[in-house]
Amino acid sequence: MSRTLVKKRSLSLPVRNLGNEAGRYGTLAVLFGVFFLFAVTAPSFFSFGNLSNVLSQSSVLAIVAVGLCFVVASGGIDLSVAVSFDIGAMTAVLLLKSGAGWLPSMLIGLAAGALVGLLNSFLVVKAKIAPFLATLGTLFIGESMEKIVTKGGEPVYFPGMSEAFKWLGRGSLFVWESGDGTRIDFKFSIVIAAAVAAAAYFLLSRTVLGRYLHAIGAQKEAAALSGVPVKRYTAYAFVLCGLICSLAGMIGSSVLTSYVPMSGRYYLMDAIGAVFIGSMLHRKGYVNVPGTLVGVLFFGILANGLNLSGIHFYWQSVVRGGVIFAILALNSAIANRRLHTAKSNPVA
Amino acid sequence: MRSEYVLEMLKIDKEFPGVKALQQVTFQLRKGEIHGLVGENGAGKSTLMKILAGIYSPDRGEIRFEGQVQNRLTPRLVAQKGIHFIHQERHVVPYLTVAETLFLGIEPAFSPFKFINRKALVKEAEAHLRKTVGLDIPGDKPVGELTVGEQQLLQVCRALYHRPKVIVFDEPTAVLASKEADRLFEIIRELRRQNIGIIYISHYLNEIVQLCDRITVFRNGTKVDTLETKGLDIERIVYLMVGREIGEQFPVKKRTAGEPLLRVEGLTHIDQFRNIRFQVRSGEIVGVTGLMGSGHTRLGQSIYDGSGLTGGVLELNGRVLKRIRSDKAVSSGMGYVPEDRRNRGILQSMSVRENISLASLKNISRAGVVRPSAERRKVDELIERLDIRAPGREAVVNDLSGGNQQKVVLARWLSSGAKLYILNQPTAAVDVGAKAEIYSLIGSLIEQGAGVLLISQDLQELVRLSDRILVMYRGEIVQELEGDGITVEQVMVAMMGGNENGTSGQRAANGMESAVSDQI
Amino acid sequence: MEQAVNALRTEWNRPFLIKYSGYAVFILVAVYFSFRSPSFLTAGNWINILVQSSVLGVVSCGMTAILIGGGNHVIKGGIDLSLANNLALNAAISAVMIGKGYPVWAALGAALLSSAAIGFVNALAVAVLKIIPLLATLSMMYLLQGVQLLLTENKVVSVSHPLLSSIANDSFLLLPIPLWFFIAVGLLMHLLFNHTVFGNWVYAVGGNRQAAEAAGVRVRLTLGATYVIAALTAAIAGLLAAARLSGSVPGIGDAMLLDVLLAGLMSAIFSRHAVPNMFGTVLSSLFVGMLSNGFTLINVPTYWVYAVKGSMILAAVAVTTTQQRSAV
Repeated sequence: MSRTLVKKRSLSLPVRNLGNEAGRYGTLAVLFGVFFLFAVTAPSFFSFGNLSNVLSQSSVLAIVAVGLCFVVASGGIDLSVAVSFDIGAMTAVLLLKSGAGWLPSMLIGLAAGALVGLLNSFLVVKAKIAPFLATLGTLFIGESMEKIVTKGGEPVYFPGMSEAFKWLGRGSLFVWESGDGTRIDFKFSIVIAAAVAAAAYFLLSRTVLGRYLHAIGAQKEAAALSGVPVKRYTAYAFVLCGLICSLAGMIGSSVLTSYVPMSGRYYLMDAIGAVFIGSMLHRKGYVNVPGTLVGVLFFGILANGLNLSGIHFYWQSVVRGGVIFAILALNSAIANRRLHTAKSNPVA
Repeated sequence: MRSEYVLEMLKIDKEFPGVKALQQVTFQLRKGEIHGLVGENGAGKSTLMKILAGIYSPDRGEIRFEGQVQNRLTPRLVAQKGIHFIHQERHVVPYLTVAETLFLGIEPAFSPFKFINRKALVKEAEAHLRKTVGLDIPGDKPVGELTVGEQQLLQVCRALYHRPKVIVFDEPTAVLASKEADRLFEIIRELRRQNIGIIYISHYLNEIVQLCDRITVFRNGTKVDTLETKGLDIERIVYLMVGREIGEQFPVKKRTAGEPLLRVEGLTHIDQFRNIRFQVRSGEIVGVTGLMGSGHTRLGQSIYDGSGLTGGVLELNGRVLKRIRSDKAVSSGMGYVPEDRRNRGILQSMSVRENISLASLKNISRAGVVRPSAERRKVDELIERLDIRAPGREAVVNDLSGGNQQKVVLARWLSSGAKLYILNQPTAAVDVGAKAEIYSLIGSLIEQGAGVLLISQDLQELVRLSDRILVMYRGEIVQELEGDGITVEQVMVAMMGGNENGTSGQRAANGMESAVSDQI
Repeated sequence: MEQAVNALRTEWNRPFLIKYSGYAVFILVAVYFSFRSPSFLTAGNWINILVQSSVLGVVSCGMTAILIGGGNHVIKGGIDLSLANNLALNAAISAVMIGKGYPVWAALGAALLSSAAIGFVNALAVAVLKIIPLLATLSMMYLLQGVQLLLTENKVVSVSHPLLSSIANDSFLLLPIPLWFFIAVGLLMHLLFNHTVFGNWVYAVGGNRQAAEAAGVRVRLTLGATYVIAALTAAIAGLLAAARLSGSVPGIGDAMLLDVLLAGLMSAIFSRHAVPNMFGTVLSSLFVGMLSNGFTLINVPTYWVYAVKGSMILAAVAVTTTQQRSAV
């Protein structure tokens, strides 16, 4: 009798997972590919000295991206991480400059970041504004405040800042120099980043907080009806994010020993990219910290490798965009769209 | 020789990895007949329809349309041939107007850049709607403002625009009030008069018996039988579907009730209900029902999370609740099974384990940290107890059948130790087998001292399970029926406002009578 | 089901309030400025505002097209982060080529082609490869940023050409030419999206993709088309920008992105159904332009503008989005 090929639109469980696996490995493949490419083409790339450089240079971005994870996991987005970043830096540097000790300055800096998060929560939870718009507004307002405080946006230099604070970004855990000029400089900021990432990983994957955030991100209404205090936990996510990003800002200002207004913007897009690359590496597509870190490292390696290959700085953006695009295309071409929700009709 | 059948699906086989969805299934549809398809979820009727729709291809077998063999059906081809589907989910864009929705994709214009003559479109839409389905609504109204029944009629009208030869209705009345359902039946009968072949899929066996000329029963991927509906009773159909007697479904009613778990007084909602007063005691099932618009479905959720409430007192376990919120409800021992299971009951992309433990994380965690082994133990226990059929506790809940998904939701509340359960249409679109399991689960909950508020429009279910039934009409409780002798007719009459609307109540009651008198 | 229907019903009972809140904000701000500065309400000033908003207005219409087709979802919805850079690159290409002596038509042609090409790639990525628009256009944005840097070496490229200066400075029938561009594009887009079959499709796809698909709408084609249309508006805006700036300036892309997003998203508050629309986009772009203009007139430093922009937009948006958010 007439017979046709089996044509499947909706896949049953096993095949879908296969698609996911392929997508994940595909992404990893590209990342490794880039890594090896640089290892081969740029001789100085694959040295411990250089790699530790990459790590320290990526640590600030890592912290921002990790902070962002909390908000994205709960289904939102936070464009104002740039502002939390800057406010942390601004408060700390200004306080230091006026003579305050490093500890109080840091604590108040963290509080400032948390405040930004609180503002975001208010807008999203109470005023019920979409996170994209709400944090966009915060971004505007925050950057404007920075310009007002610095009367135009000029950086605030403070090379004489407290040594303890300087240590945040410039201090090294250990330095090892060998005779032939290799220098491994394992900066303290890497440790901070690792600690923050570990804490965030724990929170997101092992605690009630993490479970609630994922539930809110998966299906807010159902989560609410299951007794998850949605409003409260959404607020937690934003506040945590603001806090963490302000820490990143402080480290950044420590590296430069100055507060440069609007420097947070630079990290915004990369952080978003890293978080999403991270979610593509997860079996079910959840936002996750390890994946995000891979994303962060990827950006770091890319920038570093391009530099070492002698490729002009301007090519960085081009390559960055191109490679992300390639990963995305690969991922989509192989894997099934797992962001797609229920089929409209019940099975059989 | 011209076939008497407009559609034939002969000896269809269909397999998915690990599942034989259809085995040697033969189905034939005559011109101008209403043919019902019944069977549990998973029995194969949806798969057969998906093959008909061109979404799947059969592994083996032949499909003939008007006597001609069809190869390689695609959705587009199927529509061209004149086979149209009215789906369960009404996919609509809320802010498009009626006219725009009616003609979406088939706008009377040639190239996509042609301008729409709004006024003409609206006029034509209104005329068409009036003529084909007797619907009289302004053509420029946003579709989101129509009632569910009206939206469905819009869909039917759209299908009729193409002069179909076959129309497939998939669970159309699950969301309709009985007046709207009656109207739909009229239209379907009219379609039959026009010699259109109609396939009618439904779990509402009384409707099937009323409406259809013949039915085909599916079980486990095979066709059990095709019968004339004349003289057929529901018991026989269920027996064919399940292989069991219907009587076995319902648990024996428990008589003794204990302390009041929930007490509600003067509860008022902004627009759905007012002055609601009742109580639910431990060990009893209180049923609530009413027509669409009576407020009974809203009642359940509002008691649980306070949405829309403007006044009244809620007492739980003897203590008045100051703030009514879902998380407070959960910690006070309430559990809510929502009507819209897919979007508000389960968290689709999460696993069975995560779904079940969501409301009881406090119990399996220490200082905010979840203890995986404790969670696993608890979840496995519940999966076993409720016989949740899934490929393991990590399975994505979305992939389970409706009945199993519902069990997951119930498991969540069992896990959180809820004592008061508010169930909103718990067995809607759940197959007969799973229904029975859910009923016995409710029975065991009661035995352990829980109280259940059962909101349902399935009157059989309501009458069989409930100790008391509260009937709501236009936002108020108009009658409370108690005792063993409650009949479905009594409930129906109360639902329609007692002696007002006497005729429609009587007609409907008569319709139900023949189908269910044996049960009661 | 009853719940769902009733939820829909009560939502639609508020359109009156929503539609007029947008205008209310607009008028309030205008009133404020006119009190503080006598020259605000003059015809000359308003022509100024209109002209200054023209670049933003043109490209924002493109963004709105994508927003309509993408639906409302924050992350999964349609968006094009590369539009502003597309505009900037377009201006850069024309500027560099004219500067190197190429005939103006070649320069403009090349710029147009590049914008269109970008649009096509985006369309492919989103519609065919089904990459999340946020990510696809994010990576495109990086790419374009880089190309722009390479082309202009991060420097201002100043050119002068009679055509460009004519566009920037001349008037036609008493109205400056940039304004004509603004009006033309706005009108065209409005007609396209509100009065044609295609426009209907875009709204359908954005409102409920499954429904549109079930109805037989060619979803992928429609979505892809919105990205190409947006790219074309970026091209036109790029031309305008090159004319007004007499060349190209590095960094305009980054600076404009937020404004473009704002204008597109804010357009929803001018619609009955809280849905992005063309007319609302025109008004929002004017609003943004009005803010900058007003603040200059009353001598408030520009960095205050950001704050005010942000907070006012938020206030206005809060009113509309309440409608869209479920009451949680």
